[in-house]
Amino acid sequence: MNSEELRIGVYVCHCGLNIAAVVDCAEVAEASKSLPGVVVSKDYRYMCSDPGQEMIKKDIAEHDLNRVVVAACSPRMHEPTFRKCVEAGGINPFLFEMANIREFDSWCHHGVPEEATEKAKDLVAMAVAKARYLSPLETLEVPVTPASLVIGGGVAGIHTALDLADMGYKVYLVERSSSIGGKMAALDKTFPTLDCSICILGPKMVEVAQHPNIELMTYSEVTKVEGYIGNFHVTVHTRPRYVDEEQCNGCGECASVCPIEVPNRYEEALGPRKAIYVEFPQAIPLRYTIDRDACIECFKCVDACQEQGRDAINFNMEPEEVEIDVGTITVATGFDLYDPRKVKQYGYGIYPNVVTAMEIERMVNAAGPTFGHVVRPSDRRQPETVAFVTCVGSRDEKAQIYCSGFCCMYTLKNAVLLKDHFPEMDIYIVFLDMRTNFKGYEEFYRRARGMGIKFIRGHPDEIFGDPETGNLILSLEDLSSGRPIDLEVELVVLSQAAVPSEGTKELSQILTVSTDTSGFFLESHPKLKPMDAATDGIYFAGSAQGPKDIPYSVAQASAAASRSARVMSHDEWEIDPIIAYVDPEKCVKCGVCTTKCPYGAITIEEGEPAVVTPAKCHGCGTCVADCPSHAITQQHFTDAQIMAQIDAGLRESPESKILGFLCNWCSYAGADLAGISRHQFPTNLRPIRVMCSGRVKREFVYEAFLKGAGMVMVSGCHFADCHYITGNYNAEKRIKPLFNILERAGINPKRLRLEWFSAAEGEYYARITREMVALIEELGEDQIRAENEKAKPFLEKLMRRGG
Amino acid sequence: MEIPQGAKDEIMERARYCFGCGVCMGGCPVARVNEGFNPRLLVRELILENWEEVLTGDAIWLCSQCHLCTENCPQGVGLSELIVKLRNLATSLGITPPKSYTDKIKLMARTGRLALLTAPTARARRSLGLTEMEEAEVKEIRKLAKGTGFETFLADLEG
Repeated sequence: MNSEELRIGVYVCHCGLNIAAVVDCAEVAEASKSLPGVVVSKDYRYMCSDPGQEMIKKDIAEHDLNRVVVAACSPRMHEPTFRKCVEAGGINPFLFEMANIREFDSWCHHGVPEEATEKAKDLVAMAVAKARYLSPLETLEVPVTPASLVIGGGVAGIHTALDLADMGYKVYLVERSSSIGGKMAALDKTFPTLDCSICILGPKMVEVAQHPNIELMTYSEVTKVEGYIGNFHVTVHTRPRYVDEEQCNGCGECASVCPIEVPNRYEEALGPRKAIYVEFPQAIPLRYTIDRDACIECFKCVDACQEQGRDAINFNMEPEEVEIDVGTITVATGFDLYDPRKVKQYGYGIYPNVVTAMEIERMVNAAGPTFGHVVRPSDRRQPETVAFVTCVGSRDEKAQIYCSGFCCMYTLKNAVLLKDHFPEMDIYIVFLDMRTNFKGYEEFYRRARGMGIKFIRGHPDEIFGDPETGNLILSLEDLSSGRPIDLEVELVVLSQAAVPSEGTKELSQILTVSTDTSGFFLESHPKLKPMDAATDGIYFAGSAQGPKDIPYSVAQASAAASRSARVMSHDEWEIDPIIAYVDPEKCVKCGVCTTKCPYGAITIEEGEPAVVTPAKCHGCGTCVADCPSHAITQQHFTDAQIMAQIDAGLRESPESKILGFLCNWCSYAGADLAGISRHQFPTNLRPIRVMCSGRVKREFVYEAFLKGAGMVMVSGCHFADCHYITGNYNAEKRIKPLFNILERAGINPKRLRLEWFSAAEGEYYARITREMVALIEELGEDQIRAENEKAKPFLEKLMRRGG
Repeated sequence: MEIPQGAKDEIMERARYCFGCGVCMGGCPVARVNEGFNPRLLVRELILENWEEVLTGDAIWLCSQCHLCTENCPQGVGLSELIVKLRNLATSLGITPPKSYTDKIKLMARTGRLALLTAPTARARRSLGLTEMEEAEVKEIRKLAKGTGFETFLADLEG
């Protein structure tokens, strides 16, 4: 408690008749006068109205108030309003607390005005108890560097970079390979319009190269990222091309004299390239690179270059490290294609005439290694029958459990292209489900059927090769007829799954952002922040976050650019002060907090106490609850504040009370909804709002039972919905063992409830409240008192031990 | 069996769009009483180009031409018309329909009806106060058969 004299003002709102029809507001205001520290207590029709707010401001001046409590609606509704009001009145906005006597009381307790009024008094007492421990907090402001880093130069990265550059921001576009363009540059046509892929991407690539605001860094990788939103310090490592980018003009004389040929990665190894090469003719930058693993150092290229009057080739080139400062980062590292060798049943790598979708993509391209001819690798002959097999590596628990999303469409596209080029070709698509759910996609599927492509629902259990003919036999069930069939074709094309691109894990560690169970980058919220990393200032575009087709990638790329610009358009970025800080005196340097923080906001240097980076902390409080030495405090939700709320909530006949901890985002909102929906249930629950269920310490539960509580409820979001990614998992891990511990102490474990419910589950909250009250009645207050009494020494021992 | 490509193309023009939802089978009144009849599989066989099986099998002759499938098909396959085309194609290739079907044809040629007017039927009509059934105009039917070329087919049947 602060040493200054506490001068608290309490204001009880009628909300017209919303509250006053059930709760006797004057009686609540009168009762609150006797609470310690309260110097003025009033009730009024509408506290949020101008006269209501004026009353508070006037009282702050007149009564020299240093804390304000408003008992009205949910803080999720008007907390910001009253914070502004008290700030205007001259006190720090964080010296304000709200008691929710509308959603949590009058709206859900019709017909029991006396009990509702008693509950309102308790809710005000709890708010006043917390207010006594409030400290002034300052909103942090950090400067913002108006430059952005985009990692990955595929179609998504290109669009994010161009959007940001067009908005006037400096952009560093870092690409790992020697040219931007990504997967799209290697595609022949795009679905469902069949426009030429490089024809639509090429101009965008050129735009990147020519844009005055974009600094293109190819053949480069991000190796280190430090800092936080607005202030990232990034190290970029550039590998040597052995060709000076400034001097090379892309004439290609070097490659024409190079005697070494190696398989061309861009052509899926179906064609050759030289040891000195560009990835493809439209490469940006159009600068040559020497593959030193293949090069025999004959130096013919050096001579050829000099004959052109240049001296671009430099065998002594060294790797470079460049350090840049940016305000935001967009990760657009794309995807890789699954290697079907990993599943033997498809025969890829065993039978030459089993090829991948990407191989067909290059073959069917007129500029590709076969000049548009589709041939069987075994005899270079055009096949008369072709079978496409979908879901290769997708929807398979042995490979990837997820659906890769765009394979159905690219399979249709390739089949349509083949049928279009070679109408006589007999084409089968062996599929499981045909997923064609975007604009123009289903129409494209219909078009494929109309062209006479044959669709067989099923999946080969195995593909056998006939060594004589080179043909393949697909053993499968035709699910439409229920018959097993052996489908013999001359060429099989496998539609590979999309998997996280190589290096995703390493990059996620460099950025301290999470990946999901499939290995793609994890978004902050699946619905409302699908482009944001959990770390502020880092965004995702394209398939890095999960498989996406081109239009979806481009849409997300522009969205990520707008998220970035939202930050960079400010000179300074405000950071909420409800964050954690570590007391270096108490910290024992165990490092537990660093493993609990889902944002990588806590770091610990060898031999030093842990440190929270304020700009990275989101204020869930999980580290606070898990710190074994009680060295961490969450501002505005301190242990002392919460303990005071517990004690105030249980000040009278505690055996009949349920002490409930509700997370701000799901369960508090769900409980609000119960009131909004006018679900009716008994008044026994005394709620305490925490930002996350991960904040709930075991000591809070012990304290509640020591103070005589009938029941305790800890509640949070459903798993995978946590606002702080993993807070509720940590809550479960910490609270679950309590059932056993309480039983050992002599407390019926049913008197503790661990509940997960969403903001939409008001009805559920009402139901469990009724259940808990029924249990209290079933056990009886005498039994509860006896259990609590019996458990007291054990719980006190646990409290002394610190949980 | 040599099937003209033009005939195949005409039949497949709309059949190709079938995606196997089974609406045709779900509503088919024949399928309810004849387990061997599945209109969805009939189209399936065509897509897989099993022409001979379709044309020589019984299925195309079992359809009652109620047109429910044609009405309900989400892809506009037009199964009822397609079956008529298949019957015509089969006949033109010299395939004889099953006996149950040819017996009906013969009956129609002879009496002008697909079902015989029996004494019990006549009694039932009388008891319901319905008028006596008149004889069909067999002559007219013969005339039609001649005009459409159906006569030759009948002659073959009647051997």
